Amino acid sequence: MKKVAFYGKGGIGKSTTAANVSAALAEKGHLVCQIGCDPKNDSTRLLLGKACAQTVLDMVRQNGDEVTTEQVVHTGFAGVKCVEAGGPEPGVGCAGRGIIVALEKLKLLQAITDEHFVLYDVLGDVVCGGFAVPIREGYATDIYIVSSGELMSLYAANNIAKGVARFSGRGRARLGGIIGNSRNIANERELLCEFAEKLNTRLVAFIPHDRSVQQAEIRRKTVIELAPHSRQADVYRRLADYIVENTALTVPTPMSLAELEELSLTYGD
Amino acid sequence: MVISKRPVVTIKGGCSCSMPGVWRAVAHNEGAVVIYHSPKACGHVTREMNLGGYYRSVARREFVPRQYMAPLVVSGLKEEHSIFGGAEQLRQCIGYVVTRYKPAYIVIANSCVAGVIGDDVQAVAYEAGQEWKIPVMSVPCSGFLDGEYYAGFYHTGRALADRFMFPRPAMENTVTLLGDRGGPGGPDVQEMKGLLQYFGLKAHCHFPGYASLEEIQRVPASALCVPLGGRAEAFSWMRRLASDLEEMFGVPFLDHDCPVGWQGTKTWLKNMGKLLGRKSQVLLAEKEQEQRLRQQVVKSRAKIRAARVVLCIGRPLLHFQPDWVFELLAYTGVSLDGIILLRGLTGQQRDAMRRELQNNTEAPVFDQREGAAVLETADLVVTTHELAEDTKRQLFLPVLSPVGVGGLVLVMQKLARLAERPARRGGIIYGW
Repeated sequence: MKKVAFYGKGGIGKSTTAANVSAALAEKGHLVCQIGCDPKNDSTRLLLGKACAQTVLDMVRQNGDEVTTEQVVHTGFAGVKCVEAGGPEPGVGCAGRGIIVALEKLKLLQAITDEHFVLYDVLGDVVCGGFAVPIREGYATDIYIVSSGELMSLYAANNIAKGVARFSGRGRARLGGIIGNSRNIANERELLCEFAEKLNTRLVAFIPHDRSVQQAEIRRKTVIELAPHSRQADVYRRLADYIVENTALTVPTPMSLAELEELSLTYGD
Repeated sequence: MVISKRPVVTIKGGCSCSMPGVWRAVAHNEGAVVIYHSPKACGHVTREMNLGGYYRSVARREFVPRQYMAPLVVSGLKEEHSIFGGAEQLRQCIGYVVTRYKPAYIVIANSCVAGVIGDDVQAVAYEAGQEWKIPVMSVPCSGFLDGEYYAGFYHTGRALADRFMFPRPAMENTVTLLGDRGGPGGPDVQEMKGLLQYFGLKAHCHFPGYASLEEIQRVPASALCVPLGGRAEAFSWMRRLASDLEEMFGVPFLDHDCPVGWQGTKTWLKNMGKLLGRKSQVLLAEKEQEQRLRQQVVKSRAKIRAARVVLCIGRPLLHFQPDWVFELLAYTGVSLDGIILLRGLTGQQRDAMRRELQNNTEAPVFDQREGAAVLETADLVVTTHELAEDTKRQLFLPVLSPVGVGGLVLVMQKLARLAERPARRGGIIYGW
């Protein structure tokens, strides 16, 4: 079983990327599970064709210890198993604690045992210990950071790299690479390549900005499902293949803010 | 011989929970109910504290059976509330409290959990107040997170002042005592009242605890506030409360902590006389109090003077200033055989205490292991922690320094009583 986690700045396209990678892997016959670690419950929307109605935490709240695997594991496109951790309404409670509880519950249920790939799609930055759990507690071993060339996105990516470096001593989680999700800014690919290099990793994919992604999203589908023969679908397939084969996992070397700003200035000015 | 200290006391410098402070502040205020917005288990600290206080009162025969005891209700936060928030749980808890106890007002203390998950307790309290038409106040501390016992105590006092107090014309020669010190029936407050009498002052309120709503509303009419701290950390919070009341209602306060030891009492009297412009009363008070002390010294000295005494200290300087103990022992003619710093002190605390001791005494200072021999030969042990050796005659020093000459006399009497016990019998006498 390969356990992969996608991190990145909020709104950068982690869920879209994860869902398309899951779909591409499933298309090739792999058994795949995608776990959304975000209280918004929107990670698996494109695979399920709807927002997940029963999250792990909803069920824990409702049924306590009586939660069953069937209640929390849903089947989406091409048989991908879809799980949403769930969490509190915006502005109340602690979503990080929710992630811890949800992942522990899944482990207890032994809900994911036969899958070839488990993809964790984790909310935004590593804002607290709860969101570091997939890295820290060995749920995921291959960490991919989704980033555009925008400074704030790189800043978040660098912070996530700090998190991976911090926990590298106690677990097997390593950085698999940077997934560039283009925002069509100047010299974006080159910038991301150098950024990845400075983090002691590499740019493993550069996903161009394409209308098909938006079209698929408003139809609640992955690009793989909606436009299987499109170039964009192939980009996701290549990324999925790369993730399957990738063994070049590294301990990242995060940059200082000054270095990061300097890098952005070099390419973006 | 190796001293084995009973592991019943944990020493944490400046680290305590604010919730018991909140509860204690209104525990005996008629009509108050306290809610801990916390897991159920948080209630046990207060229960233990209250039980201990009860037994101490009984031992001192101070127990007041009709004293109001504020119900303490715990909202019972669980795992699910730490994720989804506990505001709804708190609303339900307030509803239950209103229906069950029909309180005059409710004070909500926040736990670490509530603080970490960021429940908007202030908003819940406000809404509940509107809904149930009673004052519901939230104290802005969160357990151990950002507070300590005295912070909870202070903020509760401040919340009561904000809610219930309004400016009133000053009543001449009236005093509000700020703090706890065992309440109006306790020996410390009685001693304080005795000292106030020299100046023609009368304590008409005790705040924030032991006060009905009527008494709370009377505080702004006080001519003076007198803080009852007892140790540095407590005094700093009580001073802050006094300062707030001065700012809000123009009630001046005596900027001095409780009178501790004879020298401390003299300084307190002088400061009070200076504040009130009544120096002649200071002289009278000093004369009478010194006489009172001398009478006891004569009685105790003969019994204690020849004894070999060892002082054991396990409390950090923050909680235990030893100068009054040296003063007491000096009056009884005792020269210490040694001072033993108990194992519970951290290295930093031990160093700080050693420096303090150097300024106060020439007695040799030992670490626990080194001090075993001197303890072996001691007749009497004056200690901040109960030692396991029940063959030793021990005087357990009070947690709060005793107030005034009366406090000093009480401890002296107990030490003399201990000295009269047969040496083989050992045993312990509690100094409070």
